[in-house]
Amino acid sequence: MPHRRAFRLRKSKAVRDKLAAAFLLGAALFTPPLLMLFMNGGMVAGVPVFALYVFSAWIGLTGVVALIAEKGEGD
Amino acid sequence: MSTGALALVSLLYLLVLFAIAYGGDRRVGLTGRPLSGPWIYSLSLAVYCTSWTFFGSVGLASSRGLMFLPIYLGPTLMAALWPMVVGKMIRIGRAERITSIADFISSRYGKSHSVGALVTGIAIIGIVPYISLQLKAVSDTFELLTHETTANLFDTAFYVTVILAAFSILFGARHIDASEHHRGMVSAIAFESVVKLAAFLLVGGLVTYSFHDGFGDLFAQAAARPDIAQLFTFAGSGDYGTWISLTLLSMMAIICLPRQFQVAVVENVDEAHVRRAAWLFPLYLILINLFVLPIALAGRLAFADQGVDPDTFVLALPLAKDSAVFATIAFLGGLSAATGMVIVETIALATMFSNYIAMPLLVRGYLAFAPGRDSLSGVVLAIRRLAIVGFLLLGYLYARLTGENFTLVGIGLMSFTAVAQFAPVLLGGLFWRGGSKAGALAGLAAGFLLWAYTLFLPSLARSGVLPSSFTEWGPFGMALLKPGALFGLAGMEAVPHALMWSMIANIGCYVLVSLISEQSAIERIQASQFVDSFNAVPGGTSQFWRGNATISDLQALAARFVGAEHAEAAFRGFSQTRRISPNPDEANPELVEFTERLLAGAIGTATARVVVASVAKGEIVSLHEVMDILDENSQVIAYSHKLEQKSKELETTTAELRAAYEKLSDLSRLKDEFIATVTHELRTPLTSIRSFSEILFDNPQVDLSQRQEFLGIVIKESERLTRLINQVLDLAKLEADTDTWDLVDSDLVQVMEDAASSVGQLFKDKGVALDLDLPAQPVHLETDRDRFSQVVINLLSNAVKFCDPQTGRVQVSLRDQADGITVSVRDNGPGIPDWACEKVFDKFQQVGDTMTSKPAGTGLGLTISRNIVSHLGGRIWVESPPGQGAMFAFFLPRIPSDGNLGAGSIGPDH
Repeated sequence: MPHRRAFRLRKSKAVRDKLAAAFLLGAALFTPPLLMLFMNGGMVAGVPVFALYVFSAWIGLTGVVALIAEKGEGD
Repeated sequence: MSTGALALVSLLYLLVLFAIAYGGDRRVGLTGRPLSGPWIYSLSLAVYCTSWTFFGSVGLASSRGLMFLPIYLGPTLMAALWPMVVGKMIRIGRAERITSIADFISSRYGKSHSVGALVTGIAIIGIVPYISLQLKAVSDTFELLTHETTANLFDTAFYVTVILAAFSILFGARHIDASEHHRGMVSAIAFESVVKLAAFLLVGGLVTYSFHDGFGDLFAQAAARPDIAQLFTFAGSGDYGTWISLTLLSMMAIICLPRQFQVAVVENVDEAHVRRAAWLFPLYLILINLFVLPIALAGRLAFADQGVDPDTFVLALPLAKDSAVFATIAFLGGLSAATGMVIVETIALATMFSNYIAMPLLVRGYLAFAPGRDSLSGVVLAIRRLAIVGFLLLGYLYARLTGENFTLVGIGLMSFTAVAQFAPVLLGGLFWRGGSKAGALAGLAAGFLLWAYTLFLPSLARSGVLPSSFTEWGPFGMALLKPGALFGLAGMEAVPHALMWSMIANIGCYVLVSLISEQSAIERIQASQFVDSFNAVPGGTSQFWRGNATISDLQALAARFVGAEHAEAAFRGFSQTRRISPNPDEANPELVEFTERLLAGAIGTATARVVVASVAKGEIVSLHEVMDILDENSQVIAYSHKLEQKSKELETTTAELRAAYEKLSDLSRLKDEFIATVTHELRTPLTSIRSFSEILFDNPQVDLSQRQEFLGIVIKESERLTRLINQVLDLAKLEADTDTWDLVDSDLVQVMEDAASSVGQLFKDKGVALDLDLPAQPVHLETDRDRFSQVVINLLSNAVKFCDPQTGRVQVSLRDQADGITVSVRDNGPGIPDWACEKVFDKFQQVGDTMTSKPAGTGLGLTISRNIVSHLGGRIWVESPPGQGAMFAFFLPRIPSDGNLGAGSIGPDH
């Protein structure tokens, strides 16, 4: 059915747009202005703030990408 | 641990790996379906993590803290864009049967040999150090574990090289597969990824939770040591620059590394896998990096100032605690990381080398000198195997030459920078239609030269292969050209410095040359195939091809490169799915295209194109030709359009001319008739005048009364002649329109009364009654008084002529209307038959039997009247109901319309 196919195409395009947005989010998370915020050399829960931030952001970003990719997969 | 035991464990591991690969290949052979899925695909992508990751990251982390992370953050960011970038590359790769990144770039830039060869060259020079890094890591850890160092010519690294070469050939070059899928290899790589991750997590867990009391304890101990605590932050702003450039570098490397391209694009079986890999692969990267910092910190704490190479901390820590099992696990993890990389990388490089360096030379020689029957598939296989061995030996050589001067990460980053040179032409080619072959060559060459100058040559200089003076003082003492601080740009680390300069040169040359150079037809076609791959043309390039070839020729050609069995099966499959062309042995462009793609799998797109072209004697329709044809066509169309117009014009002109001619010949005939009639009319009175004059002249004795009678006839005929000539002159004047018309306001009642009285004698002579029915008031009209009265007199004398004497009666009336006046003259004569009503106004037309009765007038009176009336803008007509006489009438408009005044002056109207 053509309209359903068109719908799917639009859907996949929407997924692509969201992934591109996730890329921009990641680029912002991992560049200096935000990195500098966490470069104070302190510790939180026994872990250096910088390492904690980078890994949390990394896991968070991967989670967001997973949500986008897997939600789009269902259709 | 003894050398023999470790060697045995290593060999066993490699055999297990081979069994997995063999099983994977067999599974494809048996069921036709490979063991595949998003998980296998994502794990195979983890071939990205080599012994650099396994050992080198810890080494870097122990001196630079978190600076090891950008290499993994870059791919994480890029993974989000994979469905767009890699997805597109997969679609194109499948359509064009791409087998390597050199193939891809060459195909994009017009299936160019030179581009493919340049990419291959850069890849080989850039990647060989990377391969040597793996060999070094394996041999170093092996020696560390066995406490043995062999310093002779055949050291551990050499045996590692030989064994890895053998396995690479087993995995990737056992046979030629037209599809160029290595399903078995992919399964083995996925397995290796699991092994190295598990090994690293086990060692990391051991170090963190067994040797120390968890993360908190480890970080607390590190924080207590100021020299280690500084690893938790960046030293200065220079570190941020390095961080950003390493992120960018790894973003480019993840799509440009030949092995990544191999597993991500060439080995992909389902595009949908890419989407899941977009988060599974980053997850893998997070897991494998989780314990890097803890191990590095533990290593720094344990081996403070003991001279232990930080690159070996992963192995050294378990060893230091006498945990042989974990040390072996660490070794196996490192081994799996190294072998995975070496196998995929050498296979990818060997494919590129055979397709773009060996085959073009071979094919050219083969086609030129020995167009024999032998199959070339064996040659292709031999070339690939030799290439694999060659690359590993080169890597070994590089490792021997550079020795201990480099960290794992240093070598790896150098290779990354080399392959990053592909990124502009690759991504530009995917999304920018304008990128041309010349631009790609210029960009690649410029970027590569700068990379070699700023990174590769200094690395050789530092290891003593080249004199080190030029890195320290610049070539010939020119400090401005110092490789580490080009153009005086000091203060940057080597890799960001090299990346920046090479990228400026690469992108600059690529864009600039692309903009100023012109693309050939095939470049344009390929560019649009790549850029618009979402709505690719179904026929591919075949629709742009014209030429002829026979099916048997094509099949024989294919058989030489992929084997007879393969070729026959492929051709049978093709003819079953497509309709067969009417001529059984004539190949259609589609089949030529199909053969080209079939061969592309074995010998690369560019060579395949040359080879097929040698059989299919045709060529692609060049753009110029197309333009020429179009030009010609449009010219012809314009010309015929013009012709059509001209012929239409001619037609109308001819019609006009014909009409004019008909009119003219009519007029000419009328003139002839007129002249003939006039002559005839003139001759009648002349004849009688002459004959009576002769009688009088010849007979002088004629008595007076007779003489009087004869002279009377002569006078009467002369009068008639004069009248006739006058009228002819009058008519000629009217028709030639030379007379001046004197339009004045006249009282028509007065004019008509004058006219009636002037013909009154005629009526009295014949005894015909004349009734005047005129309005009491004067009727004013702007007209020519004399002409008007001439018409009235004409009509009146005409009427009296046809009336019977004594009983005749003529009625004249003048009607004054709003738009004009009507004058009518009615008689009670014999009337005019219907057929004559139109003709009475023609010249010399006299109703009545001209044979029996003498004509009573000149026959021009009514013609003159009609000319005058129409000249005044009116019309004249006759009505003649049977038995009631005739009524002549004319109408004059009050304001004569301009068009009619003077019109109708040439002859009678029709």
